[in-house]
Amino acid sequence: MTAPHLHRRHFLSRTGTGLGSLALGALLHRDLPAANAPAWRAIAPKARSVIFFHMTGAPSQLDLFDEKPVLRTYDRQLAPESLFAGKRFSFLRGHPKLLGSPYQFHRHGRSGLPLSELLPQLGTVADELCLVKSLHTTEFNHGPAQLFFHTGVNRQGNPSLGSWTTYGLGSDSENLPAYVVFLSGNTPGAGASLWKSGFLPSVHQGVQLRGEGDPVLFLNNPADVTRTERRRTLDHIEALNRQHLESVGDPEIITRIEQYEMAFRMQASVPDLIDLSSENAATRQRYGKGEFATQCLHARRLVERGVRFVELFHGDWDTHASQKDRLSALTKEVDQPIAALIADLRQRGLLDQTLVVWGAEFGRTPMLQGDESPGKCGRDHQKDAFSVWLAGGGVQGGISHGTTTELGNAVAENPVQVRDLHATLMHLLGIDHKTLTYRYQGFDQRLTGVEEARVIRELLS
Amino acid sequence: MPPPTKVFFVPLSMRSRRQILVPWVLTLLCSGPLHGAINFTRDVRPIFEARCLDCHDTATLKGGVGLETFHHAQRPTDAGEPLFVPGDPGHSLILRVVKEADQKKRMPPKGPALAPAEIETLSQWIREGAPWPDDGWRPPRHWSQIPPVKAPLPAAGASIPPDREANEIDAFIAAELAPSGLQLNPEADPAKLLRRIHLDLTGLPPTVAEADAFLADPSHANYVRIVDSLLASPHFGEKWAVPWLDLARYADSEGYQRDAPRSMWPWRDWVIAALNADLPFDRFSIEQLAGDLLPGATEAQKVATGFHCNTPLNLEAGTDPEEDRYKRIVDRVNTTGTIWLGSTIGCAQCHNHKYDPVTTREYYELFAFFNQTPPESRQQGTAMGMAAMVPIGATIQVTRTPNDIAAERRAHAEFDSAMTEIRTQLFHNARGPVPEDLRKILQRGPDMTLSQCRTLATKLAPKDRALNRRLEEAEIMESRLQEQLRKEVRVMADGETPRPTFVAKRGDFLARGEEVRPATPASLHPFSPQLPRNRLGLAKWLVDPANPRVGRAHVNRLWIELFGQGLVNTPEDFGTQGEKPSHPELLDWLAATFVSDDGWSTKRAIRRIVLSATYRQSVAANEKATAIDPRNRLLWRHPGHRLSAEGIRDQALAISGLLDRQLFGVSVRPYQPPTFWRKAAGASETLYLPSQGSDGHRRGIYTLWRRNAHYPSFANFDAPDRSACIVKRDVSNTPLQALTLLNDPAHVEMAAAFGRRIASQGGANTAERIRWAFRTALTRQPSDPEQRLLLSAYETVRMESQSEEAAWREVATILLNLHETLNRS
Repeated sequence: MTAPHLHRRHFLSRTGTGLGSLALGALLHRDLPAANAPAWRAIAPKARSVIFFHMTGAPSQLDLFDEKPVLRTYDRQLAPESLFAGKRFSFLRGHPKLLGSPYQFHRHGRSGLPLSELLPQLGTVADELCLVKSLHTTEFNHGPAQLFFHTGVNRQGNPSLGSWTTYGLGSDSENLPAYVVFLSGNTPGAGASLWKSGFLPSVHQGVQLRGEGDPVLFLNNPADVTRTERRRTLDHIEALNRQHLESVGDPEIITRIEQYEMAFRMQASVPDLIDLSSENAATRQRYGKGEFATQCLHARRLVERGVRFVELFHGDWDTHASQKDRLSALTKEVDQPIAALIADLRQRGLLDQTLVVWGAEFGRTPMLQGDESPGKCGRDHQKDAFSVWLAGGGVQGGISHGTTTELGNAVAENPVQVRDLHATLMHLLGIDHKTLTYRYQGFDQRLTGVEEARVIRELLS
Repeated sequence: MPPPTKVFFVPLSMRSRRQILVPWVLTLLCSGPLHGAINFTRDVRPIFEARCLDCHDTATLKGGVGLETFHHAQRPTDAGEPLFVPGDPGHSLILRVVKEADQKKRMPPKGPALAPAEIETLSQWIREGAPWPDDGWRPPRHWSQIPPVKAPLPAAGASIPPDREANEIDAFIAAELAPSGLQLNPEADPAKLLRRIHLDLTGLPPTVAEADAFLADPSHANYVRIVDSLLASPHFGEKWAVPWLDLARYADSEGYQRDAPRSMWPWRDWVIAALNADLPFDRFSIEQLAGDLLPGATEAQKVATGFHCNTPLNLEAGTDPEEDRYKRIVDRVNTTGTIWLGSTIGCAQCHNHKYDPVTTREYYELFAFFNQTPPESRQQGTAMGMAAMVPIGATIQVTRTPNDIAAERRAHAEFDSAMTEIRTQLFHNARGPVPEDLRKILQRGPDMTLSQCRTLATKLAPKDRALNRRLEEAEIMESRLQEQLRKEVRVMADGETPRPTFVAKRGDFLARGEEVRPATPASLHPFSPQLPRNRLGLAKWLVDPANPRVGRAHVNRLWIELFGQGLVNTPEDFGTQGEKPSHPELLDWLAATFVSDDGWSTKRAIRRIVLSATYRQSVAANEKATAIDPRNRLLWRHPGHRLSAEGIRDQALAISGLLDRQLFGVSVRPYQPPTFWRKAAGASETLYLPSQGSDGHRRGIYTLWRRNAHYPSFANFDAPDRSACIVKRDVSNTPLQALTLLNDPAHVEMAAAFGRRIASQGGANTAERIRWAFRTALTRQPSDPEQRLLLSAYETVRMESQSEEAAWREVATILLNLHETLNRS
């Protein structure tokens, strides 16, 4: 009972019924002929997977990465007019005061990279970090800025970085989605648009791995259905689908059968992925406890299994008030797991082929917001200068790129735009951002848009 | 002499510009001998020819700069700047770039810089007003700019067998098939055709009895009768509203960070009712774009204007309301262009593009029509010590129907029973000593309000999680009840004083360029002087029969709904960057017929298509035709595409017998995993409280659409989140779809209900029941092997589980998961 004259290659080359499935073919099958390699893959790739951390709400770069002694000197004094006059902020009004960082910075590793005392564990892998202090963006509200940071556009409806990546490179995993998303803490404001595929085929959207209920929505069989029973049902469905295939010869039916098989495999591969019993006690201890720590460990297991793009959102960094307590609690949640992940990837020989990115939609102001008392004060949103870091596949470790003014309100040297960062990430993955296009609305759409974007060569190893 | 500057770029349409410019140029050229006057042809053109045209000829137009023709020279560059300002060399781009000191930036990039004498010639020429005789060159008109006409029907030839019922559409299809030696497939088997037409027109499958009736009389006349009854069905509007809601980006939440609930469902109901009443598409359009401006606007006409209120609204604390207002208008302009002009005009927001029919300036002239709305949000009160945003756009309350009142009663009963439970629990918690103020509240007994109950619970039972959860639920029920009672919808309303509109340089709303007035692009059909220069005038201009795009775009979208692919496969863009139509004469014939003969009747246009032999042919593929036309662009078979997300749900509900066919009303919440809505930063309402009773089994169009977390089983079947206008949904085929159909509790429930239905209604014996089940799902009779396979599935499960119910559920599950069930075949 096999389909006559129809096999996968036939399907891939001839079907006219769904581009989505064609794209899926690209996602699931590594054996596409070389002639099909798209034009944008003309660069030798440095990394094959990405682990992308987004700290939603925007952490204070001034208290974590970008030390400003002058700001400390003028702590709680009126800010110079040039910092706010004619500028728009979300909340700051009137004549704001400056807020010096209450945290000490220490130099780490051979590189001597200075990091805040809030990030002691990250300090242990400082020589892997490629810090960019001179990023700037165009948006100062969370929703639009998160969209801009993920899609290059400040409105909803465009593909995310992860979607562009899987569209550009396909998948190396037969049993898992190519783009996996984790959330911890509050959901980012811009919601699922941050991992949606926009105008790209929907097969490129991120699949959320959840901590509660089914790890992938609807993964588990109903409580009264065993795996054997499910296998039997799938066999029945396939038998009837094949009957139908013989009478109408629609190759899309073969794809449908394959998708049901992949679903069945996922029912085994996802639990296998999230079952950490095979990890030894030392490893688990190294990552620490909590939802985010577990997700970091899952991220390593995902890239080990060939998943292309793993994104971890960690919520609640929007410290307009009570920054002191909140920042120390938030950094405690992320510092150890992220440092452990980098060290673990290095130890397993995976770091060179995995690009780790840490960032947020914007940064925070040197100006104080709200109540002046040390426990209650906070910082407003800042779009003109903020910090991100990269590590692993193809980037130089232990360096710092770009500088900001002595008060940290703007970029002083080597400004980096969000689309430059996008172009650089694509470059490291072996993708030419200029030719990575998808035709939509009559145009070849690009992640980096129509204006010039630059690969930041200074970051590359 | 005319005024020295800017004459080239006055805010007039190109036509009127030419009327002013040409006589002036002629005056210049003909007016007496100026001392040492530059002669363009003799002095300037040779410089361009020698040094510029390698890159700036009409074929290349690098950077949007063309120096070969008058037409291109007088257009702004891609960056939006004019090439030269007549009379003002100091502000002329062309002089700046030829004088540039930096060799890397200087023009021309190759060879030496222009000689000082050449630069002086250009400078002098500009000082003299940059006269450039109009050489009459104009870009060739694109097919989509030429009004569609009804071409004579091609002779049908051999591609349609004479015994087939065929119409004009088939003549055009056959004419394209014939040169490839192809012909239409035979007509689909009557049962398949019946299922197809039911799903296509109403989104619901035929019953076994309806199938029997058609099989007894599968004549053409009977088919026509069925088509007409389906077009008249109230469920027609529910099916056909879905693609319109995608275009209109309809949702029940604001989008962005807060993603708060919004009440737009009365507008959704207006669309369903308008489609059912077959409101002609010109009126359908005018009422949605500008119903409020019609003389003596009715309530329904105002509701219709909810169309452009569907745009996302950013209520994140700290948002600049004016910036968000600007973004919303950009979205309205772009959406309008996509739907009524079949054109992507959004690029012109930031820069000119040599391919675009619309310049940046013209973009903002269109923008000016929509720029009369006052701000739609403002800061009010505080959240976490920071200003919070509230919507303040215009709304109206809509007259409630008996249907609404019945729904409200149900909602009331649900709320009352929750309150009774809460009060009882509170009395239970209040045993023992209770402070006097609380005692007083308790004494109110059944009159205790929800907020009083909340106060009591906070004091008396702060740790009672069940009670607090119940209170949260009751609060949601109360807000839903309020939503029912208010029946509010947002509408368009222009402010009293006209707002000026400025070009936003590079799309930045703070970078004000020159002021513009409402006008339509020069390359499109003229704006009648009789029309008012407001939204109403714009709406009438869009549905002017002289608009060459509107009819084509609309019939193409109808074609996509019926065939899964368009006659133009880039339905969002009919412009020079879009695909050419597969059947240009057919597209034009359909568009012209739609606008003139059929009086913009969507139902007549659909009827014409579904009566064609092309539509009625089978989906079967054959090797010969596949080899010649693998993508089936010529339509030698019906493409038989997958059902939509809503279509899959509606069909499964109908098959299982669970479907509640109630039309209209406030959006419902069918089952979804309880933890799917997470707490989002700054967002409201995170508890998803499923609708009770049969409201959980309403059609998909009534499912609550929350932009940031839309109904997951719809998302898995390619339903967009409705953040932006979508003309054609993607059709994917993924493992998540298999998981959804097999494991989503909503689908598991449907399969179980279908199983029970088979057992109780399917017939006297197992074989009959299997046959009935198969026909209920797929309309057609099962083949012998199919019947055998299902029987064996049934027997296997029955033997293993010793349960007849489990065995029928197995049969139901199989049928609901078949590829054929998910597709129109």
